[in-house]
Amino acid sequence: MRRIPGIRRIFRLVETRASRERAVEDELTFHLDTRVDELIAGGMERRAAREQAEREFGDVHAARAELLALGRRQVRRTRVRDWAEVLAFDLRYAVRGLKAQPALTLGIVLTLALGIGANATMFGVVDRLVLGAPAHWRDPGQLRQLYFATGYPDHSVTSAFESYPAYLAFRDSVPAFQDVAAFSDQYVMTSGRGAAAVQVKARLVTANFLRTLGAHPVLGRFFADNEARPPDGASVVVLGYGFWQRRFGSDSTVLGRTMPIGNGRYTIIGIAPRGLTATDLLPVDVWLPVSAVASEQLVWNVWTSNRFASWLQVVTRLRSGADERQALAQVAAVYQRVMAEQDRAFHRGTTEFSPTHSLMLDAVSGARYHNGARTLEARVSRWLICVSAIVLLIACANVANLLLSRATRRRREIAVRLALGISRRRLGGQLMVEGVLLAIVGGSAGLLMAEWGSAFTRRVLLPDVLWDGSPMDARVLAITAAIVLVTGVLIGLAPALQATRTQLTSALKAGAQEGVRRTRLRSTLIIAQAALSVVLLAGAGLFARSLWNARGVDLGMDVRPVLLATVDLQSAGYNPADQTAFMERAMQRLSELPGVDDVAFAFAVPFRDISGMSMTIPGRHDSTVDGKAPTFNVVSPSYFATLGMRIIRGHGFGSGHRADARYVAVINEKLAHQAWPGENPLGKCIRLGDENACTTIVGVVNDARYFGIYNEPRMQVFVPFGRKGGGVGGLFVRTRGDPARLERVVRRTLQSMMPDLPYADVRPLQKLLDPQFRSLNLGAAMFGVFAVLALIVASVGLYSVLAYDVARRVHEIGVRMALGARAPDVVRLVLGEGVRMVVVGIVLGLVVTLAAGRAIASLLFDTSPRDPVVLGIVCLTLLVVAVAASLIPAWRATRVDPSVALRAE
Amino acid sequence: MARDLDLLQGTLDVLVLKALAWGPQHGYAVARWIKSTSDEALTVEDRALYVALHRMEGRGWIEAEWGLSENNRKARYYQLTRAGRKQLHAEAARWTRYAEAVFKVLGATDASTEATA
Repeated sequence: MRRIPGIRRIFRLVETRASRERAVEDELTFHLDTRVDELIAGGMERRAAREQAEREFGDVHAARAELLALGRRQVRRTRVRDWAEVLAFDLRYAVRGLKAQPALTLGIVLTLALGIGANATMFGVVDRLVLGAPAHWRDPGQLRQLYFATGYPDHSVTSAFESYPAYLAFRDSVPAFQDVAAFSDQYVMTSGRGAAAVQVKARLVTANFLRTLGAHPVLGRFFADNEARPPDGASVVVLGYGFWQRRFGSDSTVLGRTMPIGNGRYTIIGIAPRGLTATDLLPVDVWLPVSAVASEQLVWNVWTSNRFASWLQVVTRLRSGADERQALAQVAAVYQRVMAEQDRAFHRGTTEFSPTHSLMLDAVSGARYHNGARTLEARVSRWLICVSAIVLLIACANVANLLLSRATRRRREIAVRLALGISRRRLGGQLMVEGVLLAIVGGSAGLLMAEWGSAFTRRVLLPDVLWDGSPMDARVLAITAAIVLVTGVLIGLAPALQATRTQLTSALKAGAQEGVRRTRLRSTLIIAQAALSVVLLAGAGLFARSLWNARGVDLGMDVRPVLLATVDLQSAGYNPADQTAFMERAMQRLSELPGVDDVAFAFAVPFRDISGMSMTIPGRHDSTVDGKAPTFNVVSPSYFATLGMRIIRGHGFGSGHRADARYVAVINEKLAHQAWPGENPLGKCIRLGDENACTTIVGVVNDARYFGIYNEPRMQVFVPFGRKGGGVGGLFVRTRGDPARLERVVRRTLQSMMPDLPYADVRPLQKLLDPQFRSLNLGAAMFGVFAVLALIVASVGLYSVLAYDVARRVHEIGVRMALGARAPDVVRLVLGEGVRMVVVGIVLGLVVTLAAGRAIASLLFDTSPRDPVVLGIVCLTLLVVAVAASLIPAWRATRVDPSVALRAE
Repeated sequence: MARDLDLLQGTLDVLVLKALAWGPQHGYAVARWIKSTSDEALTVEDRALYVALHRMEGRGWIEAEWGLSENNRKARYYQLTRAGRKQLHAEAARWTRYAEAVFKVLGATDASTEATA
C-alpha cells in the first residue's frame, strides 16, 4: 500500500508568512545568543561579545532577507506538491471505492454517458444549424451577410438577394469591408446528354468567394479575377469535394479536363474543400464563376447591368478593427443610392408610390431561409438543445441520488474518518473528485455515443443538409469538456454537502437512522425527475400527434401512387409547338407501360410551382374573388383522374376539348362557392388574362391542398392542355403499387424517345411533399428518443431510492409485520411512497408543460399544446412506470422475516 | 587572524552534509564542528552556512525540526534525509577523487625535481 500523504503534513505545522518570519528570527537569535554566551564564558564583556558575534556572522539583515526569500519559494513548491499528492490519493481512493461496487459504477457511467452523449450530439447538430458558420468559413466573427428589407405601405419583405450592379457598389464603395463576395442560389443543371446525362447542383460565385471566407481549395486553384469578369468570363469549374469523390473517384489528374455543364464545356481547375457550402448548407457539386450566368441564360437581359434581377446573396468580411455600426452606415448609404437610382429608372418619373429600402448586417450562420429566418429544422433543433439539457439534468439527479445512497451506506465510514481528524473540507473535496472522475469516464463513453448518435441524426433526420467531416470537432469537444466538469461538480455536490453535515455522535451509534432531511433531499430529486420526464413525454406526444394529424390531412388528391417526370425541353432547344407534341407522344408511350393506370400533364406541378393569371367575371368590377386571385393550371384531360381528384359537377375535359371547344374551364369547389354562392356555376362565363372571349365553366372539381399540408385549399382554375403554355411542367404517371419500382422504366422510356434529351428527372410526387413533414419527424423522433431515455433513467432512479428505502426500513417493516400487518399492507406502504412522489412530480411537470406550451405551439401541426389526450396518456404512462418501478422493492419488503429483522439490531 | 581558505560553491554543501552525518544538529553546532574538525583552517561565514542549510532543506536533502539545545534554548535541528545521505556519498566520492588527482599531480612535480637532482 502507498504511503498516505499528510502523515507528514499532520505533524508539520501549517506555515504562514508570519510563522516563517518568526522561525527565521528565532533561528538567528539562537545562533547569536549561543555565540555571545560562549564568548562571555571566555571572559569577554557582554557588549563586545555581541559585536564580535555579529561581525563573525556577516550581514544579519541580508541573511534574514535571503532566508525569507528561500522560504517563500519553498512554501510555494510544497503547496503544489501537496496538492498533487492529495489529488493522486483522492483519485486512487475514488477508483478503489468505485471498483468495489462495479454494478453501481456501471449504472452511473451509463446514465451519464446517455446524458452527456445526448448533449454532445445535439450541440453538434445545433452548432452547425444555428450557432456556427458553415464549415470553412474562417474567423466568422468578422463575416456578415447582407439582408435587404423593402417596405410597402402594409407590409415589408426581407430578402438576401440583390442584383450584380448592387453587389459591385457594395464591393467598391464601402471602406469598412475588407472583401465582399457574392453567391447565387442553387441551380440544378444538366451535365451531358441522353442516357449519360446527370443532374448537377451548381452554385455561381464571385472569384473572391473562397478568399473572403478564408478557405483554400484542396487541389488546384479557385477562380482568378479575370475568369469571372463580365461579360463572359471563362468556362472554368471548381468541383465540390463530394462530387469529385463520387464522379471521379478522387482522381487528382482530373484537373485540366473538361466536362459538359448546361450549354457549355467547362475546364476543371480545382477541387473545393470538403464540405464547403453556402449558408443554406445545401450540397454543391460544381462551383461556377458568376459570369457563367450569361452562357446559361439564368438571368434575363444583360446581367452585368440588370438592376432588377436579384439573384446574388452578398457576404462580406469586415476590415479588422472596423466598427460595425460605421460599416452599416456606410453600406446603407450605398444601398440607398443604388435603390434610388433603380426606383427612378423603374418609374421613369411617374408619381407612383416608391417602397422604402433598408439594409441589415447579420452574422453568417447555417440553416436560414432566404429571408434570414431560421428554417423549421433549425428552430426544432434549438428546442432539442433544451431537451437534451433536461435529459442531462435527469441523469445528474439520478446519479446524485445513487451517490447519496452510497454515501449513506458509507455513513459510518465517513464518521469514523471525521473522528480521526480528516477535515470536512478534505472529505468534501474527496467526494467531489469522485464525482468529477465519474463524469469524465461517463463523458468519454458519452462521446462514443455521440459519435454514432450524430451519424444517425444527420443521416436520418436532416438528409438535405451537407454534413462533412467528423461530428466531433473542437467546438463539440470543448463544450463536452465543460459539460463534464459541470456535471462532475453537480453530482459530487450533493454527497459532499451531506458528508460535511454528518453528525458524528449520531452516525457512530450503531443502527442509527437516516435523518429526515436526507430523505427529503432524495425525494425532491425523484420528484424533479418525474416532472422533467412529464415535460419530455408531453413534447414527444405533441409532436407525434402533430405528425399523425399531418399524415391524416386530406389533400384532396391521392399523391402516393403517382410518379412525377420533368424534362427540360427548353434548354434542349424545343419550341413550344415541339414541346407540346413531345408531351403528347410521351403521354401515349408511358400509358402503354405495364403497371401504369393513367398519365397526365400539367403546366404547374403541385407542391412546387405557383402560377397565376388574372380572372374576371363579366359584370363584376373587382378583379379578384374575395380579395384573392385564384391559381391557374393547364392540364391534360386525364389530370384529375391521375391525381385522384373527383369531378363533383358537370364534366372534365374530353379529348375533343383540345381541338374545338377550347374556351372551357374547370374550377374547384372553393372558387365556385366564393364566386357564385348558392348558384350553379356550370355554364357561367369568366375572362382569363387579357382575353375578351368568354371561357365557359364546364365542371367543378373537389378542393385540393395544392401547396401541401400547411396551406388551406385555394381557389383554382383549370384549362385544357394545348390552349396555353408549352412543355415545361410535369408528367404525372399513376402506377399500380409502389411508384418507385417504375422510376427507372419511365426514365428510360423518356430518354429513348429523344437521344439528345437532357436529364429526365423521375421521382415519386410524394417526395415533393416530404420536406413539409421533416420538422415534425425531427421533433417526434428526437423528443421520443429523449423522452424514453428520460423515462428509463427516472424509473431506475425511483427503483433505487425505494429499494434502498426498504433496506433501511427492514426493522420498521419487521415491527409492523410482527404487529399483524399483512403482505398487501406492506406493498401498499412501499407503492404508496413511490406513487406519491411521482404524482407530485406529474403535477409539477404538467404546470411546466402548460406554461411552456405556447412556445412550441408554432412548431406543432393542428395540435393544441394543451391537448388533453396527449397529456392524459403522458400522466398514465408515468404512473404505470412508477408502479412498475415500485413493485420489486415492494415485493422484497413482503419477504421481510420479522424475527430476523428484529434480531438484526 | 590567519587568512581563511575560500570555499568553493558546492564545497560548503558537502561539509554541512558531512557535519549532519553524525546526527541531528542545529546551525551553530554545524559551524562549530566544521571549524574544529578542520583545525580552524576552514572558517565558514555563518550567513552563508544558514543559506546553504535552508537551500538544502528546500531540495529535500535535509529536514528541520524545532528542539531544545544543550543550553536549554529553542533551536532548529537539521537532519539528513535519505536523499541527503545519497548526496553526501556522491559528493564525498567526487571530492576524494578530485583531491587524489590533485595530490598525484603535485607528487609528480616532486618526483621530477628529485630526478633532476
